[in-house]
Amino acid sequence: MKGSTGHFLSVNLSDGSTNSFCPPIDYYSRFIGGAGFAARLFVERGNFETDPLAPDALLIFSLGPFAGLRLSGASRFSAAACSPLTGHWADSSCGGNFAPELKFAGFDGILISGKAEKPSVLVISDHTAKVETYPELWGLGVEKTTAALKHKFGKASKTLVIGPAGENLVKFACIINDGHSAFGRAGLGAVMGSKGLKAIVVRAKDRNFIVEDPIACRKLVSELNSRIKESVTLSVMRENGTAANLEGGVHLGDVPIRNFTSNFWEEMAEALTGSTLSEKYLKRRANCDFCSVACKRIVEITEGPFAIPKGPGPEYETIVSFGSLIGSMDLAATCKAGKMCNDLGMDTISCGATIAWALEAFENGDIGVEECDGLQLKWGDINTIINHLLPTIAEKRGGLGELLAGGSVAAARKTGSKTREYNVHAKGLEAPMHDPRGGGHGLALTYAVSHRGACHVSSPMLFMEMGACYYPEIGFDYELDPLSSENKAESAVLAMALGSLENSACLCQFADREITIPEWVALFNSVAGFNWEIHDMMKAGRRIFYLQRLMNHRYGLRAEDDKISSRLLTPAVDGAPEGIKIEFDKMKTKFYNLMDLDPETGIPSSKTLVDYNLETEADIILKG
Amino acid sequence: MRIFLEPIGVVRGRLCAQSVEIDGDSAVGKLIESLNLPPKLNVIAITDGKRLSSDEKLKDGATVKIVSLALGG
Ligand code: SF4
Repeated sequence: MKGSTGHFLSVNLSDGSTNSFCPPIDYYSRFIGGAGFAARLFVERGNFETDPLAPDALLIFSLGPFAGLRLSGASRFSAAACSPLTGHWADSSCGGNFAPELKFAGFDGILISGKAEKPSVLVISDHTAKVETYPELWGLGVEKTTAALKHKFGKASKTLVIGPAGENLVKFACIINDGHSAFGRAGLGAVMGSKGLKAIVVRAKDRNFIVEDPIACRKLVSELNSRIKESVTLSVMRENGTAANLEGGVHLGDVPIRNFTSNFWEEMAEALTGSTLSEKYLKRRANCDFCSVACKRIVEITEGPFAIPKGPGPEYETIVSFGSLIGSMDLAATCKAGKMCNDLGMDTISCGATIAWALEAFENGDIGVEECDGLQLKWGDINTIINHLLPTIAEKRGGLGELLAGGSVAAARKTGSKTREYNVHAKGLEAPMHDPRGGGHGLALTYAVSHRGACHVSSPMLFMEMGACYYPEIGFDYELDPLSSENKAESAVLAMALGSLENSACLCQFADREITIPEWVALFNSVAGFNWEIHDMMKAGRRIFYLQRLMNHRYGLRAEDDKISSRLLTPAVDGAPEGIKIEFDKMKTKFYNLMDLDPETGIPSSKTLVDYNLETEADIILKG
Repeated sequence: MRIFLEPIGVVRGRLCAQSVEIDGDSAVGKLIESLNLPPKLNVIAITDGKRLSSDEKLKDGATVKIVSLALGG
């Protein structure tokens, strides 16, 4: 199979054995790679009854066919497992530099099972791998661990590391690549921690990447790279990062404020926006391998309570999670909180959202000083968050640390029914920093139907609603009004298939906005030799969406779980979307009809399963 | 008539004029067209915190915020 190595690395940490295996060839064209491929491998080798943090739980890292290609946006990859945060199947996507290196080392992915007796590191080099014991790294932050691994294995080696939060099984622990990029969502760092696996290191000598049609591929990649480099919207992101238009987002009512209780805060808009970050703290721009967009930030804060040395800076989600969401407009503090979360190994979205839940619960008297280990919690009190809450959560210290380390939904369950009103999530995953009431009503639908929960990268819906991309070849040639439900179900059908393609091909959602549908097909054909027409590609995207739904059905999710928190369905009290209600049920019913999903079970009919060649998988999942 | 402009976020560096002169009966769509901003920025106009539709008529001397829908992730 061109574009891929045809080999997966299998690691059993219980006995330290490593083997290479060849997944069935049809998985590549049917499930592509990344999230889709990981899901199919789990169906073949995983056990739906296993606790996410049990030794025999599987953790899968999976590359797409384009990893290793010198194409902007192509260096992402997926990690997948049963999420300890949500209790069902989830995947997470990470940029950075690990994916191409792993492909060059000879593997399309890594399948990890078992539990190491002592803290270990998986070391991968050209076609070989071994598990080494490193107890001295356990307890260290991500920064020190990464530095120690680079010292030992060479600067050019690439790393995936968990921090203390992963070791302590914090339910939203993440996995960090080379100190900067993250598998942020769904708590996969805790799965790695439960296996006693502190890090994975990879180093490859070769840079070989064999594609199906080198001439066509080179021409297409060169055209796409030029277009991505010249794109107006992407140059905005290069200039001022992913938060470049945070200020615009505030005026649209997209940016959540104080745990999604408000949609407008004018002074905060300029204080936190990307250009302010550039003016005040930006030292240089950084990028994932081969990407000219360079939306990542390297920042330095030389003075004040939030001084930090030169290093990775926050992106949009982190700035809002530790800014307006918790009632603060201190940009330096968001940089410091982001750096701490990276070092402790915690997802900034779920962490910020869980803290926002606690702030609201404290304000309303649902939790008090006693439950908060003597602390007073106040909106905007970023000092308490940085100095007390973040380390407390990562170490699961005291009652408050234990409470918040399980995420906001579990915390509300323990605390009492009224505090459930402060949860903002879908399927147990805290909502990202785009409020569908202002950002676009279609987002409410895609948050709800996404397999992993409230997720803005499960589909390009946000971009489709804002008019950033059109796909006439598949019928998306019309403008959407973000603040209406009109045509949202129809566009969500396309968006979910496209999202599955993005997360399985592992292309970056920012960079790939510039790629047309025929070019997507040409890319698959020239790299992987799929010989697809548009119809085949869209069918693969939808097949992956259905497969993930089948899996979550086995984990107990039903149609009634395709919902979002009532707070997001209550009309906004201020800002551009004030008073406008999201017609959620109408959109969902139509989406279900168009996707042939059963209104009770939430899964497709047998006819659709046959149409999408999923009979074998459905048999294993539903009858297994 | 004269319309006063308040560029927001990514529009700020790309829109130098503080006001524009447009025909008396012009609607928001016409105003946006006259700004000559890159179409990919997909800008809209907001007054008093509310989004104006493209066929909405403007009043002489009105101030509108110009906001791009190009949000990051
Ligand atoms: S656009 Fe940003 S996140 Fe996406 S691949 Fe490029 S540098 Fe990485």
